[in-house]
Amino acid sequence: MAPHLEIESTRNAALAVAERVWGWEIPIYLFLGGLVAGLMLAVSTSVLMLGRARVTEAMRRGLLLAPVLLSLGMGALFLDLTYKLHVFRFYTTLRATAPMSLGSWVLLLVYPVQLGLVLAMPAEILRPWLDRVPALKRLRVFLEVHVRRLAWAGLVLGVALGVYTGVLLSATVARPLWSSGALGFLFLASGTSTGVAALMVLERDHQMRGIFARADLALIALELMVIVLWLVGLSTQGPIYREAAQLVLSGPYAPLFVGIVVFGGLLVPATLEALSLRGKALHSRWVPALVLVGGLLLRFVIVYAGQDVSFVKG
Amino acid sequence: MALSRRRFLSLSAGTLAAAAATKLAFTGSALAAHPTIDPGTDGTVVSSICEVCFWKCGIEAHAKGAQLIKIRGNPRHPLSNGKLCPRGVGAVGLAYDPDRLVKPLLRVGPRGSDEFKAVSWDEALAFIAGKLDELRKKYGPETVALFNHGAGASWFKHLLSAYGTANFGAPSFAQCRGPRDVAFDLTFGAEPGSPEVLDIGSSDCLVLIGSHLGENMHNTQVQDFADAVARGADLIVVDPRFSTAASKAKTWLPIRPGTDTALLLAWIHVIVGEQRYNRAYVEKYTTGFEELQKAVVAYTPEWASAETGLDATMIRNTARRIAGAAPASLVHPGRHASWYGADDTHRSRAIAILNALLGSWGHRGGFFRPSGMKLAKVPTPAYPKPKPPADRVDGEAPFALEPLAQGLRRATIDGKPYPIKGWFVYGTNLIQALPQREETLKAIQALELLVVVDVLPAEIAGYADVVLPEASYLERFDDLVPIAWRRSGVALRQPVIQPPGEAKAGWWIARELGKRLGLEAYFPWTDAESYLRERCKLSGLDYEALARDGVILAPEKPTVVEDGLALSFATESGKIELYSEKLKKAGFDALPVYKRPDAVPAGYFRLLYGRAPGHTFGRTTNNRLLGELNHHDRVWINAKVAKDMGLADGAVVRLINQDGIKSAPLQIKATERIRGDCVFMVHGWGHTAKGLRYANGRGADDSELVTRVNVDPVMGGTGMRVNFVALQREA
Amino acid sequence: MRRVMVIDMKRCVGCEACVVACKTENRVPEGAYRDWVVQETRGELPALELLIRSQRCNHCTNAPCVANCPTGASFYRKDGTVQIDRDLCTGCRACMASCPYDARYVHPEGFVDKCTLCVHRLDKGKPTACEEVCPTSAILTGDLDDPSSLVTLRLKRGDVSVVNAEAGTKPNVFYVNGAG
Repeated sequence: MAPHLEIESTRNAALAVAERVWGWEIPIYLFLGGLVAGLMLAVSTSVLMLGRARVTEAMRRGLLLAPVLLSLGMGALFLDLTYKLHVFRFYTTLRATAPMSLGSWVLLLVYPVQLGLVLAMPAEILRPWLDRVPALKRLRVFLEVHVRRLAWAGLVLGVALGVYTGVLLSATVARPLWSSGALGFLFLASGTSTGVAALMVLERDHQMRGIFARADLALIALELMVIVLWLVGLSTQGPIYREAAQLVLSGPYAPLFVGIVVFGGLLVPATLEALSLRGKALHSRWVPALVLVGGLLLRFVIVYAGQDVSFVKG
Repeated sequence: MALSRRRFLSLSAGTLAAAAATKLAFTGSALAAHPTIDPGTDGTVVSSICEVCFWKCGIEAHAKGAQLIKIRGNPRHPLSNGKLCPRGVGAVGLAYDPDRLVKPLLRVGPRGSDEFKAVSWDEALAFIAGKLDELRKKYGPETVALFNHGAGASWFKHLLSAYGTANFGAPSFAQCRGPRDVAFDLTFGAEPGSPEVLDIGSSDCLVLIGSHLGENMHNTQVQDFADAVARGADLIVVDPRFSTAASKAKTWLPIRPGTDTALLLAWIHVIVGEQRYNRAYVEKYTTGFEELQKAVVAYTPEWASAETGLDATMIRNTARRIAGAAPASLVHPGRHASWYGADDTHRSRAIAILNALLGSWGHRGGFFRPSGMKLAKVPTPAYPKPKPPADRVDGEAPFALEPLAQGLRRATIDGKPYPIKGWFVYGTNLIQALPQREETLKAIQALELLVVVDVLPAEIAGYADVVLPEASYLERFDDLVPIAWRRSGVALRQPVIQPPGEAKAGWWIARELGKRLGLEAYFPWTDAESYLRERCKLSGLDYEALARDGVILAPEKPTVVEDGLALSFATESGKIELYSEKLKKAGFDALPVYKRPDAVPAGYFRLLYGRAPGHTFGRTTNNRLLGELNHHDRVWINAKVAKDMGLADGAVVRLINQDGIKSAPLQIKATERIRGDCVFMVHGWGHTAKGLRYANGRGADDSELVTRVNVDPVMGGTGMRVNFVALQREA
Repeated sequence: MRRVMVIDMKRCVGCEACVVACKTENRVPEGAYRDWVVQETRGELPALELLIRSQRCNHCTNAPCVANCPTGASFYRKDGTVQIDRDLCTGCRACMASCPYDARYVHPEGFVDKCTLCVHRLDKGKPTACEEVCPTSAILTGDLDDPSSLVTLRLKRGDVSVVNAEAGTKPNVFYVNGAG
């Protein structure tokens, strides 16, 4: 039984009105950023482990989609800024302690690498246009030769992009729900999973789909483990952390988190993927779609719920 | 494809260039000096006097051109010492309140319909003067009454005294401090003062009984209180509510409401019975001790325990501590003393007697005796001799020191001893300030003239025949304000900024009316500043210095015996009258008696009311700057009681009193900080005046629930804590 | 130099004069607060305790808002206080998400803002706005690096606490006499 406590503050009324620091723009960006990171990771890994020849048309289309999605995400970030005119200030300095600074530079570096990968492995729809311009054709050929180097860059940047979105939240220190080292890994695993899921939606090659399905299954298993570690860790860290964990486990966010994110977005697609791999069910585009929805909602829940519990009341 | 040397060189050069540029950008931003931001709120300083409450602290107002920027305490004024309460600081919100009265208004609909048309000053003043002439001829000048609150009323008192009436009723007497002023006057021959002459900073023991100092934000008194607390002085707080002061107390006595007199009598019993009183002081300065000794024999702590609900041992223990700290032991006289009616004067008498037994009157840590400052008057013709005020009939309330506001109201309704047909209302919202609203409305309808002079359109303005917009205290001169404090002196109120619209200072309104009534002789000056210069000259004061510093201090004089003060008492006997012959002769109890309050009916709670530090009752609740502070506009109810009623903290309820009057909806504060038999509200919310666009509809009005009063027979104070409310959940 | 603030909880009555003084000194926008008062009631009738605190940015020595600011807009001044350079602020609000005290707000002009410890006044030898107005003299600022300063002497007397020490940000606003 908690001891009786009453708290009043000058700014109770103001806090009640302007509750959140970050709104929908941030989860949208985190989702798209994670997805793009996962996409890059998936494609880069395929190049490095299976070779350039095994890169499918769907993967090439995915590569083309990546900068578009990333730009949408960055657009959301830009909309979120309250002093938009100063946006260039992100790029007049590098603050090594600030994940947002590191992230902005990673985002900057990601574009040329994505461009390189796209040119090195152009989608069929793009290739004839590239070859029409001699300079571009030379560039494509050059990059094809160096595609492994590009893939390594894509791998490293993909990991950086995936991890930093979680570290961004956990480095804030001030939000109990986010105060876990597991968050970086969770967002990396989830990002990669959504990236793979996106590719699965596009993929027509049956064998590649199978590989993706196995990869996604492993990633979902990893994700579930990290979620457990995250919430169990919080629940044992102290009363305020326990209160934060309760928000998603039994509180107002529980239906979304347990119902849609964990069951609908992880357990159900994992089961279906496992069954389809055993031939017990058909591969379907709905399965990765569930993963995508779950990934999006995971970020909404974490960003919103994380701002509902603070260390200090009043 | 091999990288050609040229390509390699150009690529490298490009990279180096980029790196250099980036480094420059980084270095640039790292070395760039970060500016220190100065908000630029220091301005031209004008020293003046605050009027948000009656304390009248000296202020320093900063203006930039025509704009008021901020207000701070005047470091030279002994009542502020450079500090200021939130209301004084927040008065910028008053100056720029968009709901300010800015034009004279003339009623067009029936009285009370709140329908007005804006008119010129000429028209408004001509109307009033015409009516006053008419009333003078029909009924005699005594038919006009002035209800007032605030220093600016002096011009209207002067005007109406010249007109020929003595019917000046301030709600602050019979609805507030009246009982204690009368009680102390009967005992010591002097009132506790406004501000109260308490040397709290040096007290070794301070007793607050029904005083919530801290939430009651009287500047200097709170400064002294904090000093006493920090010094580790013994602090005993008697309050049904765990107030801010109670939280700092060494002992909090959660007394049953209405039983304070019993506790005081028991304390006196212990201190007298155990010979703990200040013998030397009592022998030298008091009379009536033997009678007191006999009378308090019956008031044992056990008896008081049964009445108050407090532990008898604790009653004894606190009495001993109070006596042990004498003479620097102070039982606070309170401010608002009109509680239960029947024994309010007696309760205050008990407090006075207790202080006399401790010897705190005239001693350090107790009541100091201010020397005050002598000020000359600018000569005007003598006032005509008025008829005695109409507030009382048949010898009622014989000890009142001022006319009773509710008595003037009654005379307006029943015409006894003579009819009152005209009201001037200055700076007081009678609708919220007087209890028994139905009576106030009845009286208003019986009037032939109602003039309201104010700064904001509070409820009373809606009933007026004429509303005159006054400049706020920040925008006008007022008469000199003497300071009666440990260091006495005189302070000046002068304008900081121009008033908005056509609002005018009170002195101008009074003088203009005077001219139209043939009373020019009483206003022998062209404007307030020349009046003030003249008055300063006559008083031997340097006006320029006063205008520059805001205050001129009187020479230091001893205010306590320890500093050489010679104690004297303006009583009939020349001594402190523990036993009051005066009361006896008038047929009252010569020594305090306790009257048990009515029991709380089942299902009801006693309605208690008080203050919040950020507000001065209803006059600041429209201030949007102060509105950013904690409103404290919830009704306090015991947490367990609320839980049993199924009400969560913050639930919306209506209060219904014993006569079926229902309040506006408001939220509850379910708290452990209050007894289960009462509820508490801050007085001043629940405005209904549509002109108060911020305050309208916020919180609820406690004063409309005060439909019953118990009148103190000694001095006519209206005891208002005799109403009970039930809670009704609002869907 | 290390500028700190020491607040005496025994003196403070929670009147909120500090809030209004700050508002009018620093042109704090409507609905935003650079300082505010928190009242905590503990216990049950009649064994009750009321803790009153005037709170503001704690100008932490280990400030996550400074660490997490991507543009360097949030920085440590030479006197140890944490300040915001409006020219560098993009309004990303990572600092607001990082503050365990919710001390910051978004100014209508777009940048993030907070208590500056009135360094524009301290630099001129004047007290902060809240310190100057406080009727109970509960607020004191000074240099903790000066062994003879009032703040140093007061903190030496003990019964010192900070708000939410577990956040580990090493606040420089100290509360004395809070143990009651």
